[in-house]
Amino acid sequence: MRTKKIVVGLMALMFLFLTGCAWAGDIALTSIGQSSDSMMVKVVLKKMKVTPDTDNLMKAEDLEGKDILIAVVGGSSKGLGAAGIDKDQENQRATDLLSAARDKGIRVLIMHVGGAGRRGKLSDAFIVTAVPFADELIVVEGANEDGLFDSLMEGKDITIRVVPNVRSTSEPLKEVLSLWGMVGL
Amino acid sequence: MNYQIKGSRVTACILLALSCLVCFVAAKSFTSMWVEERVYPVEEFQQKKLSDYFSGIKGTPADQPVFIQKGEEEGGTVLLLCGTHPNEPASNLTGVLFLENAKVERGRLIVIPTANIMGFSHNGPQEGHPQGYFIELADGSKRRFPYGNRLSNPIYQWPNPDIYIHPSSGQNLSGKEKSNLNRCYPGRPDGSITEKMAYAIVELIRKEKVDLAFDLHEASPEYPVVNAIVAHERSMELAAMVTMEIEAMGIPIRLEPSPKNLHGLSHREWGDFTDTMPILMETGNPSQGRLRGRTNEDLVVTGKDKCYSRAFDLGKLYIPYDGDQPLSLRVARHTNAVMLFMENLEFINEEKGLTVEGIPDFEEIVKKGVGHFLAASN
Ligand SMILES: [Zn+2]
Repeated sequence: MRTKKIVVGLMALMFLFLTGCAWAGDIALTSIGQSSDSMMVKVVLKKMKVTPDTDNLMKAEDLEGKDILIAVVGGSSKGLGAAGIDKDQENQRATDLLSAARDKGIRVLIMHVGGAGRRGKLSDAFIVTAVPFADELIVVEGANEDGLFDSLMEGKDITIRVVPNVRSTSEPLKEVLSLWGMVGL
Repeated sequence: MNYQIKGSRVTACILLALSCLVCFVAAKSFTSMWVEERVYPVEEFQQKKLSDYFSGIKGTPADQPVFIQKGEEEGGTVLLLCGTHPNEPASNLTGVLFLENAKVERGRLIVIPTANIMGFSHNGPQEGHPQGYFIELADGSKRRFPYGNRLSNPIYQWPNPDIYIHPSSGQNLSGKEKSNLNRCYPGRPDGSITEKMAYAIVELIRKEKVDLAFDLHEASPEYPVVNAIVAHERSMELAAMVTMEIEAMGIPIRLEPSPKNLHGLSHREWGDFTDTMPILMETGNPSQGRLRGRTNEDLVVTGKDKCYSRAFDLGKLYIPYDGDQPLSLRVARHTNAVMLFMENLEFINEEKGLTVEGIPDFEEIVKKGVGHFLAASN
């Protein structure tokens, strides 16, 4: 009788583990370019009851135990100033972090949610660095008018998921996270 | 050829008389700005003075009206600080719009319409700015509003040092910034008159236990932080929620973090020296930009400028510019954002919600013009 209880308990635990409870903290969220756009993605995720480990200055070693890395691309001179780093240092951090993710088999979702306003010299430098690492890509309308994202994804079998605004990133976010095994969204 | 100018006592007297005339006319023009802006708040607003929060500015030119309206229901407290830079008219006008229309149902709304009141009494030298501008009201009449300078009037604070060492951080700034309210926070009770005024505002935030505090601004269209919300880390989640809503309405907006190492600014020091959530917002104002052409009242009100059209075509602007940038649009942007912040406040703290009625929405302000919602001057 007792063994049966234990077995049932263990099975329940297994079930919970497989259905997503064990996912808490397995998602990492960072900014590439130090804009606050990552904060908006965090709010969208929060509404989906997903709490990622968030650090805008995340380093390769912080990826320990993570399954998914969401990197929100967009440059902000104010943000770089706030972090006390320059464009080149940020680009280096991005390259190191994203390469480490690829080496560890962590799936990388790149998001650009700032539309046309988050393009231009500063942001473009980060876009060019980050986008080639994408396993999935979500872009808010207005950013890909000149086809920059298309050209960076050339040769890859990935469709860019385009949405009209940040709020509606919740749909493709759900799709991508479900595709990558996250359930109960 | 060789001209010789011959002067006599008569020519000297004529020249002297002419210079007296120029001085007289110029002085009249200067002093015509030494009047306080008239506003017509709805009767629910209670009027206080900034010196009620720090008596050190009592009887000085830094003292000014503070308007408070309390709703029936308990809730949060919001401060709307407008007119920090009197050459950014959408800020002051947004404050006036709230004063003359707001019906607070829940929580408390505090409005300061002319935050750097010492900057409203003069223009920036060599800028060619108008001393005021007119807005058409609903009845077709026109009401005048002041257009001032970014810095406090030197008749109240002069001279400034070559380098302004920000007292609480030791940061070095250009000397003139000592007269810039938004470089003087958290202020000093024994500092310059602008620092004392900054101190009084910080005291107000503390004593009124302000939950959410706005500092409204405008910026040059060629400045990267424009059409923007700048948020202290404490306000960042709320700001992200609001930014998404604004963006979903199709209004271009960017969210920027307040740099931790940039001192004297409201979005940094209000957050570090009080418990409030600071928010600074910027709209695009061609009349303060460096690329502008003819500078007059029309430019202030319509934002129409050929040079800015050209700059936009060259990709040099940070706002979408379709030949103009009307003041009504800029006020609509600020008003809409402030309303969204207040609506979302309760999602951050359930007890601190705020309900304000009577404020026109974005479309209405853009379509009818801000003057449609302002009281007739009498
Ligand atoms: Zn300003």
